[in-house]
Amino acid sequence: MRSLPFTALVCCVFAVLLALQVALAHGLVSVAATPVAAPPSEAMAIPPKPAGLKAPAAEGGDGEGDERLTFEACTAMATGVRDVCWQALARQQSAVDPQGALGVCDQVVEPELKLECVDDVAEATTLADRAGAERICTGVVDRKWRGQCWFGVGLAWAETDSDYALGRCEHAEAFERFCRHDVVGEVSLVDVDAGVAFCTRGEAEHADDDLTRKTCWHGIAKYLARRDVGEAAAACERATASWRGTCYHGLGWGGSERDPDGTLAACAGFGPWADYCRQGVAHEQKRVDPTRALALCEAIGTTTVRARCLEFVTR
Amino acid sequence: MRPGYVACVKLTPQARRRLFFALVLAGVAAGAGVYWQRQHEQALADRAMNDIPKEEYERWMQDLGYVD
Repeated sequence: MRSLPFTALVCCVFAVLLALQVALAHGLVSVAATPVAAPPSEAMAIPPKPAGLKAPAAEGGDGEGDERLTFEACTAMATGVRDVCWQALARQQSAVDPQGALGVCDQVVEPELKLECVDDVAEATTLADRAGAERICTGVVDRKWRGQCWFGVGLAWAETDSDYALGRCEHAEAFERFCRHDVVGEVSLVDVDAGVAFCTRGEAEHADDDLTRKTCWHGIAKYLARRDVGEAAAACERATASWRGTCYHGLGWGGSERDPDGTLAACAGFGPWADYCRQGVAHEQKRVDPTRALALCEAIGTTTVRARCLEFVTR
Repeated sequence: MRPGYVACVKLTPQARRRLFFALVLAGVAAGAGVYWQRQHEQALADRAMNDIPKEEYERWMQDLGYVD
């Protein structure tokens, strides 16, 4: 009897803690710092970054117009923008103090922004410290953001070490094809032969994966067309025959980002691939002028290409 | 606070030791539960990213301008 109150107390404590554990296990209560990732449809809305970050200008360098943030400035900001400030501060610090930059990322409250911050630090520091950036990416637990981390590192190395850059895409998880597309595009800007060789090798290495093979050629053309559609067309002529249409689609998209009218005029000179080029322009224009995109699709002569064009711009 | 009392319950030294260990065990169990739940959520998120159906993945790439 004497021990009854004590026994009751212990039982109550156990019951409460057991109930809490069961509730946590069934997701009724969540104390996890990292929330469940958005469902695929929302997660896929995050576009892969098309261009690698550049390291912040050194002190006294050509950082004209760059606002130099401080820890105190970010702390003083309103809650809604503070996380963005921490991200920007981390990027600024990355070149001179990567560990400090990661510490700044720890200040970010929103879990997705925190992981993006870590990725940005890796991307910004890899050219100066390859091994350090590799450690950062390896340490990211979330698979999505780990893949993004390697993607960013690959982009950063594209113009300097194409083999290493393209090799990072193998670690990019769900973003491997996006990585191959963008990194080979960046590589092609400085060495189109290396880009073409990479995609040609991919024809054998990914023989059972059409999507991986064709996006490679698409990336070369898209990036080159942003500079010059003639260069892009020359690269497309080296593409595997099966994917030449996809290549010219990339040409149309990339050229349209810069000059849709000029690109459309150039498309006319691409013989059997003209309509694929026009399809690329139409697809790109869907983002800025859906009415024009629809008209461009309807003007395409090739039946199959027109059908696919219309399906895309009207969905 | 009266010495020897815990929540208005008078405890012997032995009882206090038992309570201490019981609470430690309960804390460990709760911590393990939280850890397991986080691992479970992360696994779900990882699976969601890597098990995207091919058609959905291709549409994703089309929408972002990565393929025709």
